[in-house]
Amino acid sequence: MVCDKKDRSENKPSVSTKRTVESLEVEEPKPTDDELNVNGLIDESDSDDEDEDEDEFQSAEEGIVSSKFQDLDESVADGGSDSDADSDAEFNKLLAVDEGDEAELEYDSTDFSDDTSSLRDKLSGFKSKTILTDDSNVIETKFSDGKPRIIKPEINPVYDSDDTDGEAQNTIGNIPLSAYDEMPHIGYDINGKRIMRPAKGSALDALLDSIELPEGWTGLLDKNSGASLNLTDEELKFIAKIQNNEQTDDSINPYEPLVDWFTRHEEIMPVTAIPEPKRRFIPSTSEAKRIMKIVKAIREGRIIPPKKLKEMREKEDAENHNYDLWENSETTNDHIMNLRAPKLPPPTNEESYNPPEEYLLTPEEREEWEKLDPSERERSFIPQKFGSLRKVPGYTESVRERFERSLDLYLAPRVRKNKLNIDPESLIPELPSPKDLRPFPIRCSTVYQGHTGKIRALSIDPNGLWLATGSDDGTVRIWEILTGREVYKVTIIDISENKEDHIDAIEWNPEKSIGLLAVAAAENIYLIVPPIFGFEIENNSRLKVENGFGFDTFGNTKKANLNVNSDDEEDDSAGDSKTSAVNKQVAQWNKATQKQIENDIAIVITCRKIVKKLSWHRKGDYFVTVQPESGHTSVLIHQLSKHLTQSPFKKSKGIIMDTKFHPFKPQLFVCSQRYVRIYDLSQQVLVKKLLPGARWLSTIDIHPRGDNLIASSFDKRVLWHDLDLSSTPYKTLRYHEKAVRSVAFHKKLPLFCSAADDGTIHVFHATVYDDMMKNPLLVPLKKLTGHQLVNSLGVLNTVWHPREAWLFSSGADNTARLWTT
Amino acid sequence: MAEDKSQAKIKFFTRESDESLHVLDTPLFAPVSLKRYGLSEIVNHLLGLEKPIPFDFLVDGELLRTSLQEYLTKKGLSTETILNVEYTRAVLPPSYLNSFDNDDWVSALDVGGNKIVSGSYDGIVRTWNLSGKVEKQYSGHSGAVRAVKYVSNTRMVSGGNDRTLRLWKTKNDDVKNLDEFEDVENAHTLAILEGHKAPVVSIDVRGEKILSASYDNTIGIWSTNYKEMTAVDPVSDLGEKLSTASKKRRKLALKDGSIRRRAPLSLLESHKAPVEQAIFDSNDSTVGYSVSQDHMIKTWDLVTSRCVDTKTTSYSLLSIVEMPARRLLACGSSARHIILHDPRMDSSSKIIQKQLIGHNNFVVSLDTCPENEYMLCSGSHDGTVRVWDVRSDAPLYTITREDKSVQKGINDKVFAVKWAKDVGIISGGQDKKLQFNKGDNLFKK
Repeated sequence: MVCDKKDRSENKPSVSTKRTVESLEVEEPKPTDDELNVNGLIDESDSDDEDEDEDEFQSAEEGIVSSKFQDLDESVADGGSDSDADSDAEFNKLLAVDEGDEAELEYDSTDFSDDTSSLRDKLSGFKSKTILTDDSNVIETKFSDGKPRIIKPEINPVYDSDDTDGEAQNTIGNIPLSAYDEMPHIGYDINGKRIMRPAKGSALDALLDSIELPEGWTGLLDKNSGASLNLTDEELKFIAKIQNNEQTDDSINPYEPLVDWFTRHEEIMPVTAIPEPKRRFIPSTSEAKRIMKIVKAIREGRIIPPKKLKEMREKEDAENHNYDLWENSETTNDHIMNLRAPKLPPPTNEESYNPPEEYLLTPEEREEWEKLDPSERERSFIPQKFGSLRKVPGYTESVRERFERSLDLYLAPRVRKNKLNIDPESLIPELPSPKDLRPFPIRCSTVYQGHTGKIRALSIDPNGLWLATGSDDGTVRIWEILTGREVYKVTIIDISENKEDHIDAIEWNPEKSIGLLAVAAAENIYLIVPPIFGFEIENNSRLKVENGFGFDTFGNTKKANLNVNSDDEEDDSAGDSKTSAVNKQVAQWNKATQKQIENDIAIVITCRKIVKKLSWHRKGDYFVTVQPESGHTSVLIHQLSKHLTQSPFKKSKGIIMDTKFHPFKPQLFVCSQRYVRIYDLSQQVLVKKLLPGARWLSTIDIHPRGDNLIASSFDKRVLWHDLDLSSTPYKTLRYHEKAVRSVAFHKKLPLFCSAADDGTIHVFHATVYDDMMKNPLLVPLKKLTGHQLVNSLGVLNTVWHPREAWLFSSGADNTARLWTT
Repeated sequence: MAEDKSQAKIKFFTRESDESLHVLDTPLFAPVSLKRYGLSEIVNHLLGLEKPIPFDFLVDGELLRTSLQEYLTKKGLSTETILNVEYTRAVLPPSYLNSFDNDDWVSALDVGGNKIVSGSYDGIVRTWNLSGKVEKQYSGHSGAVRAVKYVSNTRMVSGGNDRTLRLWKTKNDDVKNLDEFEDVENAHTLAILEGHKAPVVSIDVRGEKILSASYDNTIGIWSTNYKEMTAVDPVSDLGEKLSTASKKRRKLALKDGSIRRRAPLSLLESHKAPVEQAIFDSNDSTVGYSVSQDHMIKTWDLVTSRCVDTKTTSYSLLSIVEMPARRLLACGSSARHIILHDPRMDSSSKIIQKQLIGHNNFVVSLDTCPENEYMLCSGSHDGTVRVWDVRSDAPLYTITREDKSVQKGINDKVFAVKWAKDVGIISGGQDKKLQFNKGDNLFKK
């Protein structure tokens, strides 16, 4: 408070600045709280007086404010005046607190206990200094140019001396500091003495400063003094408070007890005791007047109440109803996938009522136009020329055109197609080039011509020299494979007598030392020894067949069979004691008649039903046949050396399509219409059942290693089964356009083929790896075309050459073909 | 010459023996656009011949089939270098002469002693004179004849699907009527050579030795003199183990049991598949070559009956011929080309020297040109005979079947081709014809 008083009395223009400093330093006087209070009481009047005396130009408002809040709080009053102060000086103070201030404050505190009298002295002295210049200490001299020069005495920097401004402000006037850049000083004081440049410190110090960043560092330089402008602790605290959204003024208590002036609770004691006036209780006549006015208007119909208005509107709508054509139409949503109907192209010159001459049709063109079907016409109208617009007749086509346009829009679906930006090439798996997988059959080298019926069966002899074919013309022919020369022909079926009978299967005995051809024709199986091999081989073959007769005739076989069957280690099937009794019924081994002997037939086995498939065991002693129509005896296993036929199954497993022996294990693959079953013949159990998933299988073939199987089906599929994997196909290949008739593995090379009714043969590369983890590699190699389609039948059978990558195929076009590399 | 800017420096030379055909070996400039005909004109001009002779040109031993420009770009040569161009008399096209009708497919051909010998699928060996008359028929084979070879004026040998070879005796000046042949034919069979178990498909004769290739994977060595071979008793083998039906058949088969039967001097067993052809080396009759369907070319030492060398190719080989002057073996393959192979190459080096590509089907018959060491002809199942110069990899000429009944791809297969001096190129096949094409004096006008 002392400071306050002092400031106001001393320097009016800087009053506000002083106050701010004061307010910041409120705490400082606190240790001497008692004194302070006393002083404040004392000073109160003084300060007021001085306000009125000297600070005439102080704003009235401040006065009001201060007077108003006098009662409440002194500090608040200070704050109020503080808010008014916005002079430059104050701003400067805020930005840079000079040492001088602190020094002043220091000595403020040191001289705190000074008498008021001395203070008054000082004040009076100051007044005299500012107002009066005739001080005794002033030395009047002359400048060199003769102008009077007054040298004033040094101001004694004692308490109350007003050197704050002098210190704070450079006295060099409005000269930029840069003018003194090269000098050690920055100007002159009032006495012409140099004001030295504040110590800058070395560059290293500056660097350290910039690194350390002392508290309150602003990086600014005082424009006037050249010293760095740093913030004082007080200012920093002040700023921190602002940043924390705290009260900057400590004198305000944010947690004052709440006085609930406007409470909802009704006070028991009313504020005033005045009774309620009467007018509160009687209806207002003026209001009644206004209401009557409205009522009158309503009655007269000048105002229609909204309810009634709505009713009226509805009624009105019902009377003149407009049908909304698009009422039920779906609103077009502005979805990104929504496509607007395309706009019609704008009319061109042709559509003009007055087109240029070259657009008009010549009579020939017109005739041509008229000849064309309306749907084929390039344009739907004939360009016509009218002299003027008024001569244009009504457009007759308008309704039809609108209709067609609507029809177009309705019928043409406008769909935004989602197109995946995938390179189709990238979806194709990496397969080796067919060029690297040679050899494989590429072209037809030989055509075997001569048959007059479609060739259902063909077989190549184990040496790869003779191709045997069985045809619907009832003959079996044997061909020289390279030249295509027919070397042998025998008629098995007289087709003039038995038109329904066909040669369905034909297969050479796999043993190389004999030449024995098994032919399945209708119910009979013929074993033929064609006379093309020379005496030795033919004799061997016949002996092999005839040895069985000895066996058969010896001891009437039945009992012997029983024993032998149980002794036989490998291929004896499920036929046990009962089946041997059935044997006689399922098949009969008959000696060839004289006529048949002339036809080189060695023996005839007569079954009960038509034999469709025939397959030799690899050792050449057994062969298995399929009679699809004969129920549980569909599959028969015939033994050449004993003239014995066994039926391995007691129950029918559906219509059997094909059966084959495993390439080296004592297993039998039985293919029904839907399933492929694998039976172990030595243990007489079902090993595995494959579910190819096709509706109607046609043939199967087994990979020479025995762990893979291909099946063809009449529903255009080829199914690759890996027997080590699941019972479903490893690969289902659909590339044939019609029923697949035949599939075959090459015995030595990694090749297989499939032939179908579309007349094509597809050749595939199929590497089966030793590594169990590696899946077989299937690569399509070649599509062989050449067989003609006859009655929608194409290629009926295929067989591979035993050594070469050569393929034999037979077709419905009465030919067989050799395809070579 | 002004129309083409670039010119090549050319030096002509020739190996023709005729001195009148030699030109000075001064280099001269020729436009690179020139082809054979242009170069031929230049040479004719240089020679100053009255009647122009067509020439063929070779650069670096390769027959020039394109323009010089294309040759240079193909070889990556600049026009600055001097090209040494050899010229030879051009080969005239083998024009069609005439055809002889046969009863069945013609499977084998040979020429000797002014006669043409043909083997046919009807099992009969025929000799024709040059005017197309069948002079003699030799029947005896019970199956198709697959190979015939003229041995000498009095001997002939044939092999067939009946697994035997037959040594025939011919008389040069036989003037018997055709009617009488039926009685006397079998008398001509000197001996039946038994030993093969499968069809005999090719025969070669050198001196007194016969080499036969058979589908039973063996090669038989026989002698033209039956006395050198051991006799075979037709009924000795298998005595008791005859099946009932076979006994009768055997009797039937042995109805000509009076003819002497002979066993081979040796059977060479090393091939794993049917042997397609076996030939003698032209210089050394103790060396033989054979090709087989097992992709191999084998060299045999016939004295010790051992396989000396084996070269494996990647295709079944169906025919072989030796080109003595070039020391090359030409092998026809099932893959439609002809492989040129030097038998002297050791097994480590590349087997195939060159491939002649052009046929569309099996190459089943090869023969060399009697006049030119570089030329050969090939018969193929694609119905053509092609004439090749081994210095060029495309055929020089293609001879097609002339007969009108021939349908392409159905009955046009050529089974045998023979290029004989003074006769020409004879080819026979499925069309039951012996077709003659001009094959000699191809280098004369």
